Amino acid sequence: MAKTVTVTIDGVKVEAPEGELMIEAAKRIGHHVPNFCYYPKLEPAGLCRMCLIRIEGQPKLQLGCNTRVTDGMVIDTISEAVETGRRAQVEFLLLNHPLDCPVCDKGGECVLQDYAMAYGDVASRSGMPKMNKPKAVDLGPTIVLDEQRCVLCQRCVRFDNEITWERNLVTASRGVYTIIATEGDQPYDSYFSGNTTELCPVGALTSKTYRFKARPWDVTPTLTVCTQCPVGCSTFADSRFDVLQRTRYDHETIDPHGDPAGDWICDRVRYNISYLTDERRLNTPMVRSGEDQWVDLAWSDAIDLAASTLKDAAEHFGPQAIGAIGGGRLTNQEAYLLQHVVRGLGSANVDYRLHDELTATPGRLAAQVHDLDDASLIIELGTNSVELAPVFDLRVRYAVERRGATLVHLGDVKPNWPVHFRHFPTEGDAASMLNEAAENVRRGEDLPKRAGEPPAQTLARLLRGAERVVVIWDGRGASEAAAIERLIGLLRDADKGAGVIVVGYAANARGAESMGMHPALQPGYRPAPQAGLDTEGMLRASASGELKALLIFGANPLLAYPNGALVRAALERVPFIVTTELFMTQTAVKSHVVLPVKAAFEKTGSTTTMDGEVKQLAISCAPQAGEPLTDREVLALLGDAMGLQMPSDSELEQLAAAAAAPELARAFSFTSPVLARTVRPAATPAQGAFTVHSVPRLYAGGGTSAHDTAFEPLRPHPTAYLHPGDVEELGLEDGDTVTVRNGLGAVDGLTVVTSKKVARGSIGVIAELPEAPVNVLADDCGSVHADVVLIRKGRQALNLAGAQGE
Amino acid sequence: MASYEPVLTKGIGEADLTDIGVYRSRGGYEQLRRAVREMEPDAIVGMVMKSNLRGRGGAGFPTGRKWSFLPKDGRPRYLVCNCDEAEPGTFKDRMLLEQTPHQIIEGIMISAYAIKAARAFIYIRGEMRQGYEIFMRALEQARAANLVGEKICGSDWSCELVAHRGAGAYICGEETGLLNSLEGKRGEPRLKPPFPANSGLYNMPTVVNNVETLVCVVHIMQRGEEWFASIGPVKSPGPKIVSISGHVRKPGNYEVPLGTPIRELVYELAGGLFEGRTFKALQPGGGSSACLFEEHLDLPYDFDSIAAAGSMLGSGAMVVMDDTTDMLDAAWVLQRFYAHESCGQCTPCREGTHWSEAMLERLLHGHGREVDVSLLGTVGDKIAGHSLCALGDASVPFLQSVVKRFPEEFLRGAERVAAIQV
Repeated sequence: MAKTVTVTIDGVKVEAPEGELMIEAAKRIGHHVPNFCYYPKLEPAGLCRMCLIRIEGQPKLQLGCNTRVTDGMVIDTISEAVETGRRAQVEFLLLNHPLDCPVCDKGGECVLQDYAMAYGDVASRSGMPKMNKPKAVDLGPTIVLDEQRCVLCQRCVRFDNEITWERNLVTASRGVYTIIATEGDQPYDSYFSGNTTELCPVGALTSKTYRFKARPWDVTPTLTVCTQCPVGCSTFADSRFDVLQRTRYDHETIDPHGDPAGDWICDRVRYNISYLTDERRLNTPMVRSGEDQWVDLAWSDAIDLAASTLKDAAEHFGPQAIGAIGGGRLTNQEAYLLQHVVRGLGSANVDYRLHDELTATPGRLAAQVHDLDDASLIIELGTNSVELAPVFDLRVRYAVERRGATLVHLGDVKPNWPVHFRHFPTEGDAASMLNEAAENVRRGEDLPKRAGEPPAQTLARLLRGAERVVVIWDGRGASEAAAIERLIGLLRDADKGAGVIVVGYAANARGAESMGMHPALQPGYRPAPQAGLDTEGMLRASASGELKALLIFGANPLLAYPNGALVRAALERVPFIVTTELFMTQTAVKSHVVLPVKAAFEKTGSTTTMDGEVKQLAISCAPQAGEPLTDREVLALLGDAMGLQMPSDSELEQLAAAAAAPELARAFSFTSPVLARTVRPAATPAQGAFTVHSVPRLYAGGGTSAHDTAFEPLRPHPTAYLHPGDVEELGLEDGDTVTVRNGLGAVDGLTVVTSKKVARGSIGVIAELPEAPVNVLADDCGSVHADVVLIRKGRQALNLAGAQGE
Repeated sequence: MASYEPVLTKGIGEADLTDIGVYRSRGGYEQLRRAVREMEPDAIVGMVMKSNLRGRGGAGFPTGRKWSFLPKDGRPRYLVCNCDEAEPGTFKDRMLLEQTPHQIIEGIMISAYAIKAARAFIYIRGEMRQGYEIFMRALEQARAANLVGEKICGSDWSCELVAHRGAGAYICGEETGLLNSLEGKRGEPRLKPPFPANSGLYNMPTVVNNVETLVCVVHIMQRGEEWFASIGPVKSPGPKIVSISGHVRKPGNYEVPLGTPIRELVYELAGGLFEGRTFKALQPGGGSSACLFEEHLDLPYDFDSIAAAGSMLGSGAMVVMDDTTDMLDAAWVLQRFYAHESCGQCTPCREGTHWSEAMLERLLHGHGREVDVSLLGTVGDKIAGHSLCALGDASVPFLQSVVKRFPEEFLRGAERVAAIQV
């Protein structure tokens, strides 16, 4: 804790931590020091020269953004001398500013507009024509730049350098001709690009999706939570006439003094929002009649149909013939109700896990996200936080670049990290490497560093030298779970800080797990008296005809589940499938009753972040067509129709809150024997020359991302990443079109991208793309082999966004 | 004056000092050998401190004090020799580079030893292609003679000297702009604090010194700090190379003791004005210094006297202007330079230099407004003291001094418009 000093600001004595920036100290007495380039989460830059203040005893005006308070300092922020200095800067900035406020998106929330009113003259003294700089510059797939409006505060450039470490944005040319540009004139392609529009103090950087859409005073802001990934970022949703116009972070409100690493939002939530009003959205319940025939139903009829069929199935075939798979789109309350309904019918066949995970809750081995800041070694295992939890990933980058942490990735495909990291290929067996390294550490051998040593040995040395270790894991694999438990136990026994963070695949996976959406766990992680079938078990029971009715709530297993062959067989065989969906997804098409539901922005409820924090959703807009209900309403109606004892609204809130209690999660152990999963028969994988790896991509998916016209340009193009050596051997070139196929199926229309991120003999295929679903190649959740077949030579006009980061 | 014998420029024009044999035969590198074999680094810092040597690059900051700011925290330190000489009117470092490169190397290596630098760098202005080639040959000779590199002169001390060529930006002569450029970044000055002494090259403690400053160190070693301190005024002693150019008969570099009267520099050393011309003004310290006039000619040429007269000694570049000089034209040429060289980072310099340039251009073409002439001064006030680095400040003094002294020459540019309006 810093020492407190007393300073006098504008005649008022203020206590402030020693070394605090004056611009922050002035806020303590409510005095705003005007600025453009200063931003609490960025390093001071001193570029705009607007935050001039006077310090007693110093002849020149000083910068509020780069002068730190010391005891006894006398500062003035509102005197004539200071104002004169600021007026000069505003006059300079307006010399070449177009003053096109009436057509500028920033109008109404523009800092320059405010300061022009406060410090500007009525008329210009220059008498010169304004400089022409490029307007409507297309910086990349998301951002349009107006160079003429730009005040060159470089907040965007600095964000891109200091926060994301991606270094896409630069300044080009010099003097009065200086402009913001991209490195090498490449498109500004970043998962965080939208943050620059919010950082921009003027109307220079605008989002393609929000340009000319609304005025800040016309929109109604609602603070809610993003449900696109497990990070659970707080987000403002601005709506006009119940239509969502934009999402934004708004640090001033949410996190005015926050640390630089956390609390930004990514472009998925910023730009993937027009699905809400997409015309493909389902707006009425439907029942399938025949192969591809659908008939609209009234809600009451749809609920009656579902309820009676489920009841009949339970009566005729026993409750075990009913199962439910629920996705991470559900709120805690909805997850609670779903398992309540299934368990109410006497079944325990309920699971949230769609990616063959073991767990979403790190439990007693947990590290908190903030622990990354002090970590000396970060080991990422299996997962890819760049793609699966982007804002969390900013904190990983911060830990590496600013706090000197060592970052190690154990896995088969190198992640697109812009920061320095070490990659240890595991050939599908990260657990063995972790075990070997742990064993090495336990034996305490002091091994000299040498070239060409096995990765486990290097990892052991890193572990020995590390005081605080954080493991990032996707929650997959029982052997991985055991290895992580062993390693963390070993480190903790040695009085080192150690813990694991689970970065899973579904947004509210942790909430679902805590709500008992789990065959072996009841709400609050209580072991179920009799475990039901897990996802794999339900799919197998479906395929074998034992399961007669399946509820699929907010999930798309046909696209997401690694064992594609099994899901296909299962969905073909189950006689009755009820799905709640926003769109006719791959899974919905195979269902018998499809119920339209509301999206996360349209409902209330709570969601649990990967860190265990419970956050509240708020209604920020409304469906524009039809009559979708929330999953919660659907489940309540269904439960009532089946005569189940359903909790009242207030009871449900209490039950959900009790189940989400942090101490319950802290006591949980993901290696507990009660979590034993369905035993899989040994598969004989299809043969092929290449090992196929599913590569996660933030913008992939078959739901909101595939049904959003405005988001379409950002969606990844189906891509096959191949090692340069293999590309040469196969006689391929970048841009060629190939099919990847084995005995089970084929993924067509993949564009070849040469990448050293995959090993020789491996092929990376983007996962969860409906137009090229990679799981058709698998009849097992393990390794997949396939061959590469050239379909067409030559580069076609492809969407470059698909090759991003390579 | 007659009693002063040049030391920094000694031998230039008489012998080929670019050859290491010639340089050594005249006592060269003896001081480096003595320093690394016989002296403690701190003793050298003490000598430089006592000599009152002030930086020759423009700011005139006491060199010994600059060295003493380095934190003693075990981090590697760097010495950077600033040879990005680009101040308008200055050509002393270029001469030293081309004529006596070994003296620079010796100065760098002694100073690097004194501050215990892990590595030394010299940043050579991009346009000095010839000087760079000469320097690189000298550096090779010095390395072969064990004067640079491993275990220098048989001592335990090792230090590499790296030469880097600039790409022609004036702003890279500003020490933090230079450091950014040296690191491979865009040549933009850094926000201070932190200062280079604490966080300079690659965020390590760094000293940036001018070429001439480091050359002075060789002679402080050779003749002692008392000798150096005894030359010229107490507060700014020592020999100084003055680059005299403009309307004089014998423009060139002249080494003089600081404190020599300006009149002597112009009329004796530089041969005075051309036939039939009269003195109008001079810039005593490069393009960034305010003009001095007739009444200042008897001032002693040293840091403090020039500062007291409202200008600065700067890099020691004297530009003499006679009565044929059109001040509007001169002001426009210089202002165009600053607007062109502004890096564009900070508001006042980026916008202000360009605004002034545009007004001057308009006046020059007779399209100006009367108000522009007073605005030239006002804009200067808005830049001065507000810019991120010294470039913004540097663009102001000359313009303001000549507008104040010769307003009629500027108002002429507004006449045509005034006439049309009438």
